[in-house]
Amino acid sequence: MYAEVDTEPSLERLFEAEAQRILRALVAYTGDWEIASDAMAEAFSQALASSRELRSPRRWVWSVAFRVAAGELKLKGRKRPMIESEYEMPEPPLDLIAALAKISPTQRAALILRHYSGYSTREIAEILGSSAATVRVHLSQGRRRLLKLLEENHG
Amino acid sequence: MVDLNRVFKDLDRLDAPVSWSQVAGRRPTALSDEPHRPRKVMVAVFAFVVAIAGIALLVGAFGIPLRHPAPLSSSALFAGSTSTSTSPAPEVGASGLVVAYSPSDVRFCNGVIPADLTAGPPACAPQIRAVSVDLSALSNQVTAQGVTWGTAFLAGTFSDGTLQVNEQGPPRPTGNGPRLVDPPCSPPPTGWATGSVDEPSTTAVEAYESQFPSDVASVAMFHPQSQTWVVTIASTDPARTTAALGAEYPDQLCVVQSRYQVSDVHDAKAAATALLSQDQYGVTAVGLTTGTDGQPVVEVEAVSDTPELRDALASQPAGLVNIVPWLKPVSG
Repeated sequence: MYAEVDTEPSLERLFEAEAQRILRALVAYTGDWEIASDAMAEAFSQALASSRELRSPRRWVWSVAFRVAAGELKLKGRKRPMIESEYEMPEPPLDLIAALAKISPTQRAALILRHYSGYSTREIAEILGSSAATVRVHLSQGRRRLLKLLEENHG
Repeated sequence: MVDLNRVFKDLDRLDAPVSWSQVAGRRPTALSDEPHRPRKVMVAVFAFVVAIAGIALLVGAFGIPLRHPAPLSSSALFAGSTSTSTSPAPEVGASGLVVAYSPSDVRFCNGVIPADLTAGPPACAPQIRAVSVDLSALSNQVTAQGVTWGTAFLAGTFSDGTLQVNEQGPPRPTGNGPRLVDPPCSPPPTGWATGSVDEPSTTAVEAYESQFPSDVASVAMFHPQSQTWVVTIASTDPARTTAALGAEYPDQLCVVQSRYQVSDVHDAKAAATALLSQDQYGVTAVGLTTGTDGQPVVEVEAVSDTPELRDALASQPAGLVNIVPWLKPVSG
C-alpha cells in the first residue's frame, strides 16, 4: 500500500496556472502595472532560486508577490495606488481599482485575496503574515468601505 | 447590493500577458535600486515574517502601530515586578527580535515585523535592553548600516528594563490563540453540515448586524472537522438571531447568549486601545477575538502582565478582557 502523496506542480506549471491571476491581483493591489509585473516575476524567480523545498509553492508565490509589491509601493512613497494612464482597462475594473485605492493596503490585499483569488481566511492570514481573526476584521471593514465606495460611484 | 465576487471577477478582463522567460531569465534580486538591499536581506526578512508570524497570531484584530525607537522606561511598566520587591527577579523569556545598534546597545523587541521589505533595521516596539546576547547565534541574522538584527528566544532575569540573558536559542513557536474547534452548541440531530471547503460567507450576518446593531457581540467560525464550518454567534437576543439566520446557515449555525452587551465590548476595546498610547503599560496590540465558549474577548497584548495594567482595565466586565503577556515566566 502506498501513502497518498500530495504532489505539487512544477514551478513552470504553477506559473502557467497562476501567473496571470497573480498579475491581475497585483495590478488591483498596486494600481501600477510595472510594480505588479516585477513583483510577480520576482516571486517566481525567488521560488525558482530557492534551494529548499517549498511546502506550498502556490501560497508561497502569492505571499512573496504581495510582500514584494507592498515593499515597492512603500519604497516609491506611494500613499495609494495610481492607475497607469497607458494601461487600458474596461470600466468595471477601473472603478474597482479606483475604489480599492481608497481603502487601506491591508484591507485591499485581504479583499483581493478573498474575492478574486478565492483564498480562505486562514490562507489569507498565512499569506499576509497575520492572524485569521485580524483578517476577518480587515475583510469585514474593507467590504463595508468598498461597497460604499462602489455604490457611490454608481450613485 | 453589489456582488463583490462578481465585481472582482471583472479583473479577469484585464489583459495580463506573462511569459515564463520573464522568470527563467531573471536573477532573483531586490527590485529597488537601493544598493543595500541584497537578496539575502529580502529572503531573511521574509523568513523573519514567517518566524515572527506566530507572535502576531496570538491575538485577534489588531492595529499595531510602530512606536518610537527608544527603549521603554521601566519605571512604571515593571514597577510591580521589580523595584518594589527585594526577592530575586523571576526568570522570564520570550521569542522576539533582537536589534544591536552597537555592542553596548542591544534591544529586544516584541515588534511584529512589517510585511513589506525594509532596507534598514526593522522598527519595532516596545523594546527592552538585553545584555549578554550572542549576536552570532541569532536566527535570520542580518547586518546592514552598522546594525545587526535577528530573531531569538531569550530568557533571563528582568530588572529595571533590562533582560540579563541566561539562555538563548532559536525563536520558539507560540500558541495561535484559542483553537475554535467544537462550537458551544449541541450539533443538530443530523450533525453539522459538511462538504464546504471554505468558510461560509458572513454576508447574511453582516446584513443582520446592520439591521440589529445591538445584537451581535461576536461572530466566529468554528471548525469541528474537515469541511465543516459552524457560524457561531454570541447574541444578546439569541431567539431573534436564530430566527433570522437559521435558514441562511442550515445545520451551520450556533447562537449563544452573549454575556456582554455590544456596547460593553466596544467600550472595553476602546479602553484598552487608549492604553496603546501610554508607554507605561507596555500594550502592543488590542483586538477582538472569540473564546472557545463563543463569547467575545478583548485581547490585550502587552510586554508584561503587570498590576498597573490590570488596574487600568479593572473596571471592564469580568472575563471580557484577556491580557496576553509577551514575557512569560520560564519554568525550571
